[in-house]
Amino acid sequence: MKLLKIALKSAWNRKASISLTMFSIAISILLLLGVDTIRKQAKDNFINTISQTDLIVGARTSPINLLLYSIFHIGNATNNISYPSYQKVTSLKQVKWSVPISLGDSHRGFRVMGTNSDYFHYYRYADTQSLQLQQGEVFKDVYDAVVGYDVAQALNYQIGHNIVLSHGIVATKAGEHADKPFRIVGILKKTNTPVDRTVLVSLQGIEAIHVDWQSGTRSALRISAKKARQMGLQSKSITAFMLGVENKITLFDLQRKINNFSDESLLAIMPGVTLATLWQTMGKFEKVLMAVSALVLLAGLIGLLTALLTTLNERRREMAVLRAVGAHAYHVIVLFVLEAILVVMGGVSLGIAILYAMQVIMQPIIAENYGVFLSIKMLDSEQLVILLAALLLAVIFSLIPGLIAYKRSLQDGLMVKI
Amino acid sequence: MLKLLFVSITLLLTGCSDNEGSKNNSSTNTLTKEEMEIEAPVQVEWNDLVPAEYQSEKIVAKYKDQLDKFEAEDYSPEAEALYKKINDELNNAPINKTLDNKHISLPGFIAPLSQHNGLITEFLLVPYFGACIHVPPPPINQTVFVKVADNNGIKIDDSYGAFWVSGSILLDGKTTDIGAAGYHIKNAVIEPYDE
Repeated sequence: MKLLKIALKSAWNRKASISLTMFSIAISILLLLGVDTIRKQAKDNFINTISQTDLIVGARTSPINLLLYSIFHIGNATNNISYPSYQKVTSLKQVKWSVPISLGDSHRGFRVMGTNSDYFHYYRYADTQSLQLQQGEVFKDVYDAVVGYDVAQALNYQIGHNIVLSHGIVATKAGEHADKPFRIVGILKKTNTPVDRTVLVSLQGIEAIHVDWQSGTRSALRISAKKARQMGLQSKSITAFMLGVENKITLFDLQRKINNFSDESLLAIMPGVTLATLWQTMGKFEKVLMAVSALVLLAGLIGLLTALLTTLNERRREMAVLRAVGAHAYHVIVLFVLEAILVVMGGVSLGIAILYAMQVIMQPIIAENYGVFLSIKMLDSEQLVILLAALLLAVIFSLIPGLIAYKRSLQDGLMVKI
Repeated sequence: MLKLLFVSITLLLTGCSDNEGSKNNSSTNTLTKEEMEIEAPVQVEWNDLVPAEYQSEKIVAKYKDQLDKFEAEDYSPEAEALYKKINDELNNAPINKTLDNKHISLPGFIAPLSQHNGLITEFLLVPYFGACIHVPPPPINQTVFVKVADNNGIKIDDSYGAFWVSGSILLDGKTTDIGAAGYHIKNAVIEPYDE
């Protein structure tokens, strides 16, 4: 206890250099824990976004690309697929259920997804969770919309609000479908998936807002909202569809059948397999990032060692005085170890504090830009091991200056000649 | 403690003898359910999942006379038609009913279906998997639907490796128009594959 007091007082006398060392350790701890937290959370998030869907089918592209744009709303679709193809595939015997997805429009920065009411019935996330309405009901009319939790929060929407959808995923005045406003009929509960940031409308709704856009820009022949409704619109194309099978054993067979579909080039992916592939690719980057962060931590700890070694000369007299008043040799070593522990503990606490502060600040920004929802969690066992390892390494490092000081304190005596 | 050791050794021995005799006297198996669970699994090969009468040699033997009619490099329409017929017969072979409820252990690759807490908990086990898209996927009798036991599972990062999967293999009874449903292993125990 007394030693701790001495160590603290001694450290207080050198507070400028010690706090800098502490800060550099805090930064390296922040980096290491931050990289680890983000990679784990991103993985959890991705895995929890889709479950119980056996195949996702879209236009031919890379499987990872199809998964990213259809489910995670990252990037854009390469092409649409025709509605007859969708009907043909889903009429196969193996198919138990299917949900069409039509993407490409937006509302004030949030993606708009056209689908049908089966989406609410079959879409599952985080193992077995299905979508729940917080308020209101599922869309029924052509111009009804259901909004995700974050959309309602960010734009302060209530049931009954009228909204205008825009062409493309960046909102501009020129691309607005202002003549055909949608009415919000339902608000979904929070899911921590990209659904929270999506406006859901019926496929007919998507078709209605595009009915007078056939030449790539709005045609001069305006078709009113009312007329579009009366036209009894049928989708001509969709972006992708999810499906479930009767018997999972037949999945490979069905996948092959869809991939060899002769009417149109289609791609069917098993979400689990594609996620594993994605993670296999990401795993390499993860390892590199972790290695870099570990090296930064090592650099921080070497900085601590350097700081301790440079103070050796300043502290010669301090050590000699301590020995003179009856301190044991091991007391001298313990003083250095204590100082190292203090600095690392301080650095770790500061690092963790900054980490959590940053998570709170970055959470909405990351969700908005990358569709990844950071949930703020306690440190896990792996991270605690990292922290303990850092502490242990610091103790080992501090033995070096400790031993040198102990040796010198014997030789120096009270009259240090500098 | 000693008793336990003795019991496990006897179990191990019976497990081994069962392994040898499994192919001949499978019908005389009268183990209770609990015994099934502690019995050491019988290592089977993918070929064992094909019924004896559908093994490729047997099918080829069946068509031997017709095959002999053609020269080695005969690409005539008749030869093509025959090859197709034989291939279809091989691909549409049913499942091996004698395996029902056997405690087996089978090596293979996995196609993940669902995950829980970062572990793969449901997958299709197949004899080969991955990049080869030149040939059709494994037929139904070479695909096993696996649900892993609680507190078991495969890390997503490891999903590319081969695994030993052991558990009781069940035949899905319902026969649908898409062919007899296939093999199931529930409460499977997974181990990394090593020779």
